[in-house]
Amino acid sequence: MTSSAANTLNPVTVEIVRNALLACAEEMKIDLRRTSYNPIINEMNDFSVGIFSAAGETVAQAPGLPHFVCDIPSAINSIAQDIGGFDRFEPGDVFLTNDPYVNTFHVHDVNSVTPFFVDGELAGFACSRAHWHDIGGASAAGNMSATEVFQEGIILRSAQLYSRGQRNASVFRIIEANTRLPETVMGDLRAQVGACQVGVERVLALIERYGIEVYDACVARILADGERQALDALEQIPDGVYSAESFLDDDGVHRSVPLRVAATVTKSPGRLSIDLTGSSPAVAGSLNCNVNTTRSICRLVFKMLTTPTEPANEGHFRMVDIVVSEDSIFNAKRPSATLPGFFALHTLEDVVRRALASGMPDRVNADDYGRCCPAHIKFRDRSGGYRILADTEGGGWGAKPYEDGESGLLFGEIRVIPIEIMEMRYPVLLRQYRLREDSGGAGLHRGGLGVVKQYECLQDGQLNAGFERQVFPPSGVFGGGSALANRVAIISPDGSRRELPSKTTDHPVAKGEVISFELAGGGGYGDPVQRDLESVAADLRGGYVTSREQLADEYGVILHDGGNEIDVAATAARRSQLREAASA
Amino acid sequence: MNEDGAGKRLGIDVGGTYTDLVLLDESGVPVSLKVPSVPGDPARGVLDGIDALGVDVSELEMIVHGSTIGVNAIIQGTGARTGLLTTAGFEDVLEIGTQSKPEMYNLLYRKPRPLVAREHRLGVDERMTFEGEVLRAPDAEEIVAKVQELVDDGLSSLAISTLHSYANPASEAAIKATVAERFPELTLSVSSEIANQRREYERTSTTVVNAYIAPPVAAYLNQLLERVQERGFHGPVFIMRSNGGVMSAQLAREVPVHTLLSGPVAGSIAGRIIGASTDTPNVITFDMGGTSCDVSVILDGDPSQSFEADVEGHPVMTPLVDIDYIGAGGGSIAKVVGDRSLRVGPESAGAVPGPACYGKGGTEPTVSDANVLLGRLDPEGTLAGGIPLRPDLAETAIREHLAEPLEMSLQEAALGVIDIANVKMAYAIRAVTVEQGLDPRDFALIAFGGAGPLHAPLIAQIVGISRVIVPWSPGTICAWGMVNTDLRHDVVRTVDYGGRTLAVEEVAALFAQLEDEGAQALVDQGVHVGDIATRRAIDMRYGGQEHTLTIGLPEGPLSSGALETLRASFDDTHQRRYAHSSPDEGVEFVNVRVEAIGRLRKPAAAAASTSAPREPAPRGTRPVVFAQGTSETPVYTRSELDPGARIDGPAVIEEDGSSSLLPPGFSLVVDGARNLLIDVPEGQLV
Repeated sequence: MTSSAANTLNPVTVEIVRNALLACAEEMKIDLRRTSYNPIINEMNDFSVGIFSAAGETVAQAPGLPHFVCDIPSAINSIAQDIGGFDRFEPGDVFLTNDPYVNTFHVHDVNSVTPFFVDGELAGFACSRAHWHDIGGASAAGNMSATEVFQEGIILRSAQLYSRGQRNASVFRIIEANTRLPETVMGDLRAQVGACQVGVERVLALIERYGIEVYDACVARILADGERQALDALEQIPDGVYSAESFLDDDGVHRSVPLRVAATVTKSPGRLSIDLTGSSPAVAGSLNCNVNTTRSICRLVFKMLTTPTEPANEGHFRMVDIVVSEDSIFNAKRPSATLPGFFALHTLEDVVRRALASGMPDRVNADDYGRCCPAHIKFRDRSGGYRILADTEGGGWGAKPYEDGESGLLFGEIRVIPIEIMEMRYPVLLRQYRLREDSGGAGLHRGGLGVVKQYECLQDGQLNAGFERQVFPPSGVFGGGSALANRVAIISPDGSRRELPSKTTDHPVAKGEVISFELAGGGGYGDPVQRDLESVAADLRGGYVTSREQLADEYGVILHDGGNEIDVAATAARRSQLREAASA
Repeated sequence: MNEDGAGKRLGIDVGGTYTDLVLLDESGVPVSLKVPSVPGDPARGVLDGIDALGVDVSELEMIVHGSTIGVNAIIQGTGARTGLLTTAGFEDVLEIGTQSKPEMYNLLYRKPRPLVAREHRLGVDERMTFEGEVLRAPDAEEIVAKVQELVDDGLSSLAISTLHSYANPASEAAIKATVAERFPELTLSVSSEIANQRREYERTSTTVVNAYIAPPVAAYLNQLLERVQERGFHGPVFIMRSNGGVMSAQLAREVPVHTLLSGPVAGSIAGRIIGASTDTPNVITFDMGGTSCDVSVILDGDPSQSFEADVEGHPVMTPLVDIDYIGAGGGSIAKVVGDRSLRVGPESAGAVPGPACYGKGGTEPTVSDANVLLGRLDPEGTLAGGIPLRPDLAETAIREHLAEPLEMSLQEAALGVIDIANVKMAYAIRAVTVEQGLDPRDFALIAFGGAGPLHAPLIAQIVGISRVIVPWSPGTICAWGMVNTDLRHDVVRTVDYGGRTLAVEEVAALFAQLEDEGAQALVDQGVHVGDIATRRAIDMRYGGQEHTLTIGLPEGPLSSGALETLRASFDDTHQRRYAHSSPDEGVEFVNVRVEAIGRLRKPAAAAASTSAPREPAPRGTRPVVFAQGTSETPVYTRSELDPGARIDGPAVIEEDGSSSLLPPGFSLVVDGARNLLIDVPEGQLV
């Protein structure tokens, strides 16, 4: 960039270029969703696309899910390192990488990186990252209990798909030969490369209009504006040291050994440091995460608290430092397994947010149900093939600073499968699908409710399920109570229950048995003794709260005998008793 | 109404702020008027408009009407107190919803609240399989006890929606019969009658929305009918529906859920008609108002359709013309953020306080203020109602909030606001088309609404569209669309029960049955059999896929090869929409659909003038700022432009409630129907 271009930069031009770049990322998203084959991409939105600077910084991004905030630069950097530097990219190149120690949640997430050039000079990158349906490994539906990455799939590290516009057929053949679903996977690969091509064409047209100098100056300004916005928002957090911790139930292999997730957040003038020292060391099981994906999650929390309505760019995070110790579940090293590492990341999200709660009490809600509870119920059809019912159920969200938490909610633009479609496609009959009464944490504002979903199996099958937060339920904040924990059980026709642990692989289920998913609620916000009686009465009328014990012990509310009417006098007495006990 | 010679008809479009009326008589020349709505008594607003237009309703052959009563009841929470009977164990389907969280970074996201409280959603012990086999039939005693609870609680409207009722309506019918007999005063809405399709949440939500709005909509329609009949009107009142057709007022009282999106849809229908009459079958309609723009795509004369909409957070399964909303309009607020960055929207000054130039207390600069400052809107003009604009306030707002902090001139700042707003709208229009695998450059842009004709020419240039059409009276075009459409009734049947394929005979039998149903519904609304036409379509997908495409079939007996032709058409459409297709893979039929159209006679188009057009004469000039600089620009009065007249830009063409901008290098010709056909030169594309 020349300084003259930067000095004379017209704010209108900057805003037009910013909108153009966002539209560019949006068009890549439209194209990827439109042309991809696999529903995990085009219906569950497990992807991220964007335009990046020549230095690999995120300029404009259109993520499909919130977790992928500015997650691609580390992939660009890793490829640059492998090929000997940014000056080794050439026009017409396309690279892939899915290295789970670089930037992805797991090997299924593949980055496609296309550099673009103006007058022979590298001007930036268009990239897409998307979840492939199958990339080899030991289990088609994903093994929650792997101990090495090799059991999870193949790694395409800096694989060069095109070099100077020439297709490298051998790379295509390697991929095709290593997946159980070659047609879908090759279709998704074409869609990813095509989406990047759309991005390159649109951005080059933009550069042609304004010239590379003005374009570069605009990009610099867009990032500087992002930084400025985040810095302004950051100042709402008082300087200080904030910390919180939580625990994961287990690592998927060693039951009953909880893992610690700890964060110390230090706010100083113009900077925020998030230090994860004190979190558990790397585990033998598969619950590990790489440091860059860990950074994305910390950035996500920061973004939610500072600039939630702005499309993300690198500028928004220049003031955020992430510290991770060498031996940590958040610093996965080859060849540890990483497939369900997202459980740790979801808990990390809660911990960082909870740490900051005392600094920004009007922006933060309590813990939620755990954010991702994937379940696969596997049936064999007559020809021996699998029919796999893949479901992701939502639960309760934490109570907010000003109102109750949301009930039955996922974490992005994903929809649950309608029961009427599920029963047509799979041999199940739903027994119930309801809010889980009493599951929300008590509070001045009550946590949202989880759901109960019960599937009667109409033939024998197997269950894979990952439901964290069974041992450590979602917590409340500012005196709010904990929610009910997640539970997974199998109920026999005689009514007896078998409870299952947090991560289950290939658990047998017999015809006539009922699989019961009971989702956690969200934590409460504030002292439940302060909850106004009108809200308690509404909870009673709707059956959101039914437990007399919880009413008496946490809310300090006493009901008249034999009904749902609040005994106002007894309640006042009970509440002052609880207040005295608390202050004593 | 189907006798020869179409008589006078009146279209009435009641919006939140204005009520638009269009009168069409035998001459085919529309007379239109915009009057303020009366939110407390919308029927009063309609009658005020009829008086102001000077219409004798006893001479009218028909009235076609669209209103926002139903949507307003949802927004304001003033619908009926509603209960829900559903399958026991599934009472919370309405509250759980899809579980989707569209605001991904918003920790404090709020789900739409259900229209029925949890204590008023009661389960009945009954169950059906996906194939329609009854596992447990509902018990009449239990139903009566449950409904009694709701009635005791003061509820007046009841939705009935049980699992798999699309496959077999028996349970719902039994519940309905029991309730109707014991509680005749309750308004009943039954899911298998209203939204006969698979997907329990969406079907239940549709039924509940209907139950919630039916009483207020019926009360309003009864009141309106009474008042126009008092004045001697004896013809039919038709109500605009979301699918682009109309239905009788009687039916609209029962199923108002199918009218909820009728306002913007009427604009799309007007666009289709104008497109057909100007030999441009591919058009994008662009309706820009104060707070938002409505965009629809018409490909080859057919508006793109969908079958589900979101109404204030509540899914509604109803066939509808697909409308996209862009959150930008004349009221969009411009502001400086961060260091020196200029943003336009998404915040809007709305109708109150409105832009600064409205003089109603708004102080923040908006797109309209920039248009006034640039002379694109007449600084000496008035708002509807004759209140003069306040260019001084527009200037103050732009100077204080934009020009000074940005160290720009007033004109630079105002031009910047318009450029940014235009670019944002251009990208949004582009996104609507590329999402469907279409290239916007293959379309003409039809601009209407108060602000559409002012912005459309420059937006078209950014998108690469070469033709803009501004219809006659663009401010009231929706009401015009209403009086030019037909009755329409859509029927759908779910046929996909787990991969079983249908033989051509079964498909033919289904179509015959649905065509009878659709035709009967029209006959019940007074249509003669000879005026009925039907269109067939099937929702199809590749085996195992989730998304479907709706593919049309020809009329007449289905030949043995009809399904192969259908299959090929599906592969082609899939290729265009998703850039790939799999001709060797199995396909599944999901829904079979029939549209029944009851043709209404239309007045002839206005006779084209045979005399040579008068040379267009501007009524004056004023300075207007363009990107190229300021020009003393001729201002024309729209009604003075004869068919055949040609104008080269720069120019402004003004009419009641709307102005068209013709920048330098653009030119226009007035066609026989007095549409402005604007030629857009190639420009810098972004």
